[in-house]
Amino acid sequence: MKLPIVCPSCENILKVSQMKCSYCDTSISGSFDLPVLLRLTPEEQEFILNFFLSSGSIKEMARQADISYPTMRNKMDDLIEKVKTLQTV
Amino acid sequence: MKKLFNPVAHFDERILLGAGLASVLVAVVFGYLFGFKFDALSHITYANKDWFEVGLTTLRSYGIAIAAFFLLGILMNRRTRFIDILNTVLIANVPLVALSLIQKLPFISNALEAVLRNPKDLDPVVVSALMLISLIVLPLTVLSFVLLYNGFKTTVHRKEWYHITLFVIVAVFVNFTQFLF
Repeated sequence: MKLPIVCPSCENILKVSQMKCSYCDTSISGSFDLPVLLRLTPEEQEFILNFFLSSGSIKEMARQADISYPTMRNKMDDLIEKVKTLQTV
Repeated sequence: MKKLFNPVAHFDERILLGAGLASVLVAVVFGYLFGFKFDALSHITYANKDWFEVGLTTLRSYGIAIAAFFLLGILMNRRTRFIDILNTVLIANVPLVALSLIQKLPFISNALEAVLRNPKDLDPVVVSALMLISLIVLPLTVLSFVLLYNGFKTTVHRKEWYHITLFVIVAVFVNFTQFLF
């Protein structure tokens, strides 16, 4: 099941309000921000995972995705900008 | 279709470089054989059958364009790679190299000469050839500019209006470098 990160009603970023231990049923309630990486879309998270799995090689990622290096680097630059923006929010 | 209009975004740089260099070679060899040269990036003019004149002028036009776009690219985005600008310029000129060869096809070349000789009394065959070439020139010229713009945009990754304006200024400059020499 996908973790929803955006409110389906107003489209704002969701917060974590409860966490529960599935073993002893202990619940913790509060208002916790999602980590930056979890605030990205599933596709963007997959992109970062692929980057990690290809040892940080944009060239290798471009080869796997069958696109050119500059296109992959542009995607990376856009994602970096988005992460920077999320960090300041 | 996307690949046709922006090969820099889709193809490996080595493939593009190979195709681009091959097109330059074609431009120089056929320029020597048919007597034309690129005295600016998209400007073809008559030349003597002289390897030095054809080769040097054509390579100089490419060189100036590559240097100008690379400088602009670095100014806009310091991570701009030389190989991507090189490929952009070389690939963008492929349609114009093709156009220069089409103009040397015997029936088109004869038609152009007939116009120069007697523009008032044209044979229907000549008129047909002229119509054909006008149908070819415009799409290929537009394709060349689209390839240049898309390639540069992909390479530099800047899309503000002033980036586009600076690109157009440099694009105009590299097409009039024949006046520098």
